[in-house]
Amino acid sequence: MMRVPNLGIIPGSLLLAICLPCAAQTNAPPSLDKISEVMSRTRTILVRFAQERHLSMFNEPLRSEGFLCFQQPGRIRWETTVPYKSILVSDGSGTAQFEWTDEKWKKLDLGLGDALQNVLSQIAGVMNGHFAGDRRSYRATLTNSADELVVTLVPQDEMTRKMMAAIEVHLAADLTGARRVVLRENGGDYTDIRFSEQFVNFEPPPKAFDRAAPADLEKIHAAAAGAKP
Amino acid sequence: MTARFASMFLSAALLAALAGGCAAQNHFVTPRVLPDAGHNEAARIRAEQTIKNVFPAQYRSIQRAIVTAGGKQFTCDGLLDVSPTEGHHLALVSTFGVVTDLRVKANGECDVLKVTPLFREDWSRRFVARDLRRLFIAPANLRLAGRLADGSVVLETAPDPAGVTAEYTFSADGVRWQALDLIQNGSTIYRAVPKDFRKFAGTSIEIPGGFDVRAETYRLELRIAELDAPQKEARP
Repeated sequence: MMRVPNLGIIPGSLLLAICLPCAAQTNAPPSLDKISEVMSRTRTILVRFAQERHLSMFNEPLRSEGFLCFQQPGRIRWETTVPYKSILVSDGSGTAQFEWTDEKWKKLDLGLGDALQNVLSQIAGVMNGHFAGDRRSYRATLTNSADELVVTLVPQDEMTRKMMAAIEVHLAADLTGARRVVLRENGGDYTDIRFSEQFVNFEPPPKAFDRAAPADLEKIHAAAAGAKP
Repeated sequence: MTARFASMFLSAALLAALAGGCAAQNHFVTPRVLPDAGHNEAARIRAEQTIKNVFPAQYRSIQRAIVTAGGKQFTCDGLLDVSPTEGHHLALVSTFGVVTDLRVKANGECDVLKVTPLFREDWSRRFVARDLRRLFIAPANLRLAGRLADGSVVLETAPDPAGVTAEYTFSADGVRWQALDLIQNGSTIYRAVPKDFRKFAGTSIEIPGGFDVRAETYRLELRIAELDAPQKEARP
């Protein structure tokens, strides 16, 4: 049987990185329970990402950029803006994908939709603190360096671990902001995702997570920018 | 739990789509090629030059693909490195990770460099390598097949060991590549249409910004999101 990694772990770790700084204002490293508690407080997030997929047999990485948006309890939107335009969105009950072709958004008749929804549901669970507190799925360790805190997550499941060796979540030492997430696969490939322009706890515009015709990213950004970052 | 769940779906979807067991077959109208008495030798020569120079000799590109198979659609990114010495090196990456990594060498041989749990090796050779060869690698030893009713020039390859002939269609003046048909036993089994011709970084002429492909049991909408060629590769 073919295997794929635990897909929820990837965007879930992104949310972990993004959510943690929202309420943590102390120099002391938080415990995993504290991370879980902090995450549960964040209602909405919008953050810009710059992703690099480093493939061991290529000199240059595969680069992309875009925005991740989340709203409690389970609405998620992963929008790629460069080098192409694509939206993967879940309203909590289903998943849809849109591709920008011929100067318009085209909704896909999505294959693996149920699997993707299952994955996105796991991500939603991250917001309730299940991710950081999920000792059954991941072994988490916290380490400090001079200027950052690193949360390393190792999948407990052997099959998943064959695909995904570890996830590193890099946070500023003072927890004022998330910096990056590194997904390390076996065989040397890894994905490096860096964050900027983070907004939290704003009111998303209508249809931000609509599976039929999602609102434009510009509207979400305007709503987020109008709220207190 | 999620891994098994997704694996089951992925297996079922791709098996249905690629093995063709219950997937709908695409239907084609095989272009009717009329004999050409060699009245426009200049167009034929220009067409041969066109297909040899569709893409630069060396470049790197990022592609976005929508694959329709078994009535469902899947997306993936392509990372393609091309050089005269190393050949065409392509990795396909999906939401679920690397799908396949293969190289068609300068001598035409195909090496599947990475087999992943997401995609069988023979699928890489049958489908991905074929798309790579047919869309991005210039064919050798083309000969004039004739013309279409609208005057388009048609060049063809000799049949391969499987009896497949590739017919390349060009504008009447031979300047613009319009289509590719793979024909077996007199019927088209694969049709690709280059589209959105435009200039990219390091290219001085317009090249395809994508392809629409219909194959036996799948459709491929391929967009070239980025293409960078060294400046020395720029052509007049």
